[in-house]
Parts: sequence; C-alpha cells; structure tokens
Amino acid sequence: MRDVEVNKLFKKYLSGQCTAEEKAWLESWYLQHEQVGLRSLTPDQLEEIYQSSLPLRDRAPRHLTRIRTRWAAAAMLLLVLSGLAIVWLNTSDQEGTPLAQLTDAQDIGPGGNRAMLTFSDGRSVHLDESQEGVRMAGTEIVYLDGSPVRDGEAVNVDQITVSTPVGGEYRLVLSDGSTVRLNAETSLTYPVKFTGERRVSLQGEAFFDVTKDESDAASPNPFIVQTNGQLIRVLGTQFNVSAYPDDPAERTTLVEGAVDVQSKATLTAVRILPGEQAIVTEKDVITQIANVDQVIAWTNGYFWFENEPLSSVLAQLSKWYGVEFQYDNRFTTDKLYGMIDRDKRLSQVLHVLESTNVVKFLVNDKTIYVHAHGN
Amino acid sequence: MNMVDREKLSDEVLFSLSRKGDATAFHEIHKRYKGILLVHAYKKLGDFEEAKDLVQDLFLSIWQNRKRLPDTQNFSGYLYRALRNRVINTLLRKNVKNKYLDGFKKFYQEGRNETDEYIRERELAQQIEREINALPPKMREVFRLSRESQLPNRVIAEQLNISEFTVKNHIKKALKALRAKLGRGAHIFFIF
Repeated sequence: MRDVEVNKLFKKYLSGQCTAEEKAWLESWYLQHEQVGLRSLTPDQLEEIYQSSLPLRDRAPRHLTRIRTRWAAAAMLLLVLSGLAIVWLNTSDQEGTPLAQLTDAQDIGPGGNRAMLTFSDGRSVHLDESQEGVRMAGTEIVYLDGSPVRDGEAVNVDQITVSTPVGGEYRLVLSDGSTVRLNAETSLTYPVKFTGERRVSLQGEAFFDVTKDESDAASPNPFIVQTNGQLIRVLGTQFNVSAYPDDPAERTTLVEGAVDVQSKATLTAVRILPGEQAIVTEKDVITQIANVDQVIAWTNGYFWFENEPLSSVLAQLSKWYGVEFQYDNRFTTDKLYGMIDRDKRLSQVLHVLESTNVVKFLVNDKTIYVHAHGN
Repeated sequence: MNMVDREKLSDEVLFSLSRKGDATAFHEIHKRYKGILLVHAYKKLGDFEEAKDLVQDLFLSIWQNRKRLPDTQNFSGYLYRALRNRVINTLLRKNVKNKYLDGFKKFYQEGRNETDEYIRERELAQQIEREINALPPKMREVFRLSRESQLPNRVIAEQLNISEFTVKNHIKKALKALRAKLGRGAHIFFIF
C-alpha cells in the first residue's frame, strides 16, 4: 500500500464511504495505534486530568426553595471560545500581573451574602453576611433563621429598600410571603405592609416567587414589579427580571404561571407563558422562547453562558467579582459556552477562560486587562 | 423539569435530558467522560494540548447539536465512536510525521483485522475505559466513583456481552474457527 492510498482510505472513512472491509481495517488498526504512552504525561497534565474527573460534590443548599432541589455543584465546565478572527487591543503599555504569578492577597474572592436596608425615614442598616436573607415580621425585620436584624424596626416607615452591592446577593421574604432573590448590584423597594395591590420597584436582577393573594379569591390582588422601563403584573408565579441600567434591554423570563409585561415607553403589553421571555427596550416589546434554566442559573449558584459574546460574560463576572475588564470592543463577535461556579475565586475563573488558549489576563488590582493569547 | 440528583442518573438519561437543553445533565456527562477521553486522545495523538482541544470540541459540538442528535441506548459507545472519528481526522490532517501512515501500512501487511464491528466497538470502549488503570491510583478511584452512578445498565450490559476480550485473542479465536470451517491451508485476506 502506498501513502496516498492510505490517505485516501482515511478520507473515505471520514466521509463515511468505506466498505465494511475497509472500515474493519481502519478501525482495527486504530485500536492498536498508539502515539505515546501515558508515562509521558507530566505531573501537571495528570493533575489536570484528575481535576476534570472529580465527581461532583453536593452543594450546600443556598438556593431558593421549591423550584430546585439540590443541584450538584456546577464547577467550571467547558468554556470554549470560537468564532471569527478577532482583533485585540494592543495592550503593551498596560501593566499587570499574569495569573500564574498572582498571590493569594491579590486574588479576589467571589461575591457573597451582602446587602443593606434603607428605610424611608433615612436610616440604613448593613445586613449580616453570614445570613442568607431577611423577612418581614410585622413592622420588624428578622433574618431567615428568626434572629432579629439590629435596628431593623420599621415603625414609622412605609417603604424599605434592600440593595446589594457589586458582588452581593440576598434573599427577601415580603409580608405576603412572596420571596425575592436579589442578584448583585440590585435594589428592590417595597412597602412594609401590602394593602390591596402589591407593588415593588426593582433595579438590577431578581428572581421572584410570588404567592397568590388569598384575601379575596374572586379578585386577588395583583403583584406588580416596576422597573425603569416596564410594569410586570402577576397573580402568583415564578419569574426572573433583569433590568440593569447599563443594559438597554430588560428581560422578564417566566418559570411558571403567567405574567403580563407592559412597556412604560410604548405602553405595549404582552403576556408570556412559562419558558418565554419578554424583552423590553425603549422601542418595543418582543417575546421569545428562553432557556429558563440558563436564565435562573445564578439562583442555583453558577453562571451559565451559552453562545454569548465575551463582553457579556465579562460584564456578568465584573458584577460578581467587583472588577473592571479592559478590552477592545471589536472582539464581541466571539461566542462563549460554559458554566462557572459562583463560589470560585476570580483567579480560578480567569484561569479557565485562559485555558481556551485564546485569551490572557493581566491583573492590576481591580482592573483586568484582556489580551489575545500569545501577546 | 424533574429534579433528580444528576449524579445518580445513567448516561442515557443524562443524554436524553441534555438533548432537551438540560445543561446540568450535560455537565455531569462532561465530568464523567472528559478525563478518560482526554487520556485516550492523548495516547493516540501524542499531544496533550491537541487532545484537550479535540475533547473540548467534541463536547461543544454535542452540546451545539443536541437537538439534532438521535437518542441512544448506548451513549458511551456513541461518544467513543465520535472521539475515534475526531482522532482519525486529526491524524489525517496533521499527518503526524507520517507515523500513522507507516503504522497503518505495517498493520495492513500483517494481515489481521477484526471484521465484527460489534467486537471492535466493544474493544474500543474497553480500551478507553481501561486506560485509566495506567494512571495513579487516586485518579482511578475518582473515576471508578464517578462511574458507579450508572452501574445498573452497565452491569447488565457487561454480563450480556463477552467479557475481557482483547481484539487480538478474539481474532485468534475467530481465525481458528474459520480455519476449522474452511479446512486446513485456507487463508483469509482482504483486498481493496
């Protein structure tokens, strides 16, 4: 057999045009073909393989109840950059520390349970980071485990705002039993006690689990979420709202039940059903089918990127780690797929992004420069 | 969606969930197989980074095409075939210093192949799954644990199938049987 015949056979095989005999030859050969032995693996490579076959550990329950039971920890998973050739910012004048040289002190931990309460009388209270959330108990605010929030009385107060900083998340149970889970850099303003219509206002991202109003079965009081650009009207349901000021589109994604979404700008209203998403922009309202699990992945403790540009990935990371990414906008055509555990330290997250061999980071305090790999 | 612990589901169920867009199920599959596929691809290609890329591309392509992929009763078999295809493709593309050409020619001259596709697939699976044994014990243990979740299907499959055959000794047996049928002096060869 000549080389070209072997090549031809391989090509035929790959295009699925081999005869059964040819296939038998190639596949039998494949079985005994070996380029290198496993002894040639370096300790680092072995460790890498080891890490990738670690079984999932159960994650401590840190999620909203009801919808999701214990999800296995979503550690970092395939993160692949693909797409068009990209032009990177020439960052030779920027200085920073490569990940490999980053000390523990320079590394940045993940976000956590951080939030603050602000009362309409002007007082504000920092909430305990060892607690997951607060709930309304009459005119008092207590942690979910029942312990009181210091200075948490809301006697001569009608509105309360709970807000999370960058790198914060918190849970809130309202006086009607509805729960709200706030993502980072989010604030929710609500009345101490609901009378009639239940109305809250939101900036940022939150997951709502709204109870049905039982006081009057014939005409239950609606629950209304007001954002900068829309009104979301529900009776009892679970949905996620993302309405960040730096994002021109506000998204409402429905898990169950039904919600009505109305644009403040155009007054257009749509009703979405479970699995659908309403996107409100200044111009219009559209609905589309959404990957609900992806949208609410953050409530289960991980980021889930699917066909997202690097800019969107970095924007989400920057809200959780409190860092700023410096990069050239021109490479936004690149798409990313992946999942990242929100409990990981920043260096670990950046490392998994670097392992794509496309992107490289230089860390300078809270500013992170994004380079093309090899620069 | 049914919220059962993903770690306890069989590959086939996980794949079925993945096809419907369940990323945690897919993540579990990825966790289960990434290590052994990487080891296998490394052995066949001799380049760790390339093996990593190949395995990553394979998973990405499965995820991207999840809606179009057919359901399977033997997910690992499907995965291993897909891996083999990609390795062969890479060998051809990279033409690894013509090593594979010579290797194939030599193999061909020796005149032995396994005609039974089923046995080849089985051997491939055993090879991939056994390669982990060449690795340090802590890694073997981890792999073993990560596989236990899917035991029922597997155990049954193992017991139904021929056990512990390598292609070589199976071929020996097959040739013996054929010779007996054809009578002494008969030779088996293929031409194409």
